[in-house]
Amino acid sequence: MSEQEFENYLGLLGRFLRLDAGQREEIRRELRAHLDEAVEANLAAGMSRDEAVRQALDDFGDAAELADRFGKIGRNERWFMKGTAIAAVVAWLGFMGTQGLTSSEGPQQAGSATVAEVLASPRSATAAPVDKSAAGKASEGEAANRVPPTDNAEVARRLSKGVLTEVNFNDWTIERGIEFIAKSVDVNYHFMREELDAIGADLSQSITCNLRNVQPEAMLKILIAESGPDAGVSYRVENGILLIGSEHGRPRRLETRCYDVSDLLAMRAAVAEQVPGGLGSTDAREEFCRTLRRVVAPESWVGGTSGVEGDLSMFGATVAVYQTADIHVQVEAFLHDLRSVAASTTAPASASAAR
Amino acid sequence: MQTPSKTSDSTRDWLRGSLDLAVLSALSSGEKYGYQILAELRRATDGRIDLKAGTLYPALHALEAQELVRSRWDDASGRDRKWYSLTAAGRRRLRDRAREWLEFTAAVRRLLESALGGGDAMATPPAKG
Repeated sequence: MSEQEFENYLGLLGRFLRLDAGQREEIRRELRAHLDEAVEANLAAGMSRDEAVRQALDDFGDAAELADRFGKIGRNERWFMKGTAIAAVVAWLGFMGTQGLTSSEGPQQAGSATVAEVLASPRSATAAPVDKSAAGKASEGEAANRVPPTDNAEVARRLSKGVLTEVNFNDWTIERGIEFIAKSVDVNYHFMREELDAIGADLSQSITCNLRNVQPEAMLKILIAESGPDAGVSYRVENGILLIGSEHGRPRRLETRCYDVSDLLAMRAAVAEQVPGGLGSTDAREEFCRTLRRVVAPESWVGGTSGVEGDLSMFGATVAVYQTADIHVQVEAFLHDLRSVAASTTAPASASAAR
Repeated sequence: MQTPSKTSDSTRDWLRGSLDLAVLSALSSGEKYGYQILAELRRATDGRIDLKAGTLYPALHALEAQELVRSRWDDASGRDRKWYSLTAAGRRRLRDRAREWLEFTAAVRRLLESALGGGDAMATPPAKG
């Protein structure tokens, strides 16, 4: 129980912090050590185990504040974004910080945490909000002729129809060769450093190559092949820009999945009643959508920078999410965390009266 | 938070500007882990500075980012703990900031003492005529 609750609390906190895995683990480890110490001291002071845990979490302070403060350490505004993500979720739940976690022996949440995945039909009812802008990058083939504002088609055309009359690479790096191609056909290009680093790709290898009248795209493929057959380097065109990145970084197929969140909405309504002054008049469903976008892979939604253009909308108490498979996994994990923490937090209202 | 804290509202306002100073001070007597720092601050201030862990750790991390403190993990004490200590720069910062703070509070003290009429400033307004 308390063990599980610590983990829930820290798990959710960790998710909100959106730090890189190493930092998150470090902070988690440190906070964990602190909570253990505090519980022990409380036990030594004669509290029951339940009281000791609750007191430790209460003394710990507001999770939102904590996350917010961590969010302000150095770096840039990405941190600020993290802060707001927390604020959004905490406001939405309306309790985390103020009540801490109660430590009932109550029902184990594990069983109830399964995500109701109602149906998974690609492009079903959600097509409407999604279609507008998600089409372009998601599935190149089908979308190509209806790409909205960008000139992906034009870039593709230049790469395939253009001609490099003369290629003289004498001991050039692969990177320089790629730049040469892009400049020759006059397209914007960009190296996705994170993706390349992630797969350990080395574009500084030297090549020598002399060709005439080559199709730019063919030349591009040759250069990429030079980085190693299994290096995983790949190119794609997004927003009219030629991107050199990893196979893995390619936008993958998006699919629609529906999640039943009626329990979370009901819970939120219940919490709202307990909070003096309520939680404001914002539409809970809309708010839920906003929260989800901010917390789960924020760059992966329409208008984001990751190249994935997911979307979501609500029908009744079901949220339909149009996303890649791996982000669906993150959505499920997030809902799971919310449910775990919520289950232990909303448990007995009498708990706070106990002390 | 409904738990009444020993840290009053006004204390919290003052603390806001001197949180770093308080944390650095707590470390001046040697290496400590988070929980000890909180305890030390409470002890040394008769409970007037009673920080939340949620306030302390981010502050520690910020100080570490400024290289005013350093940290290391050690479980020799029988438990996995992250120990913090002052760097040379941290020690200097503590000395400088502490001096400024003491000068400032001494001035405020004089101001308040005269306001409270320890002297005769606040006694009775000088009679006219």
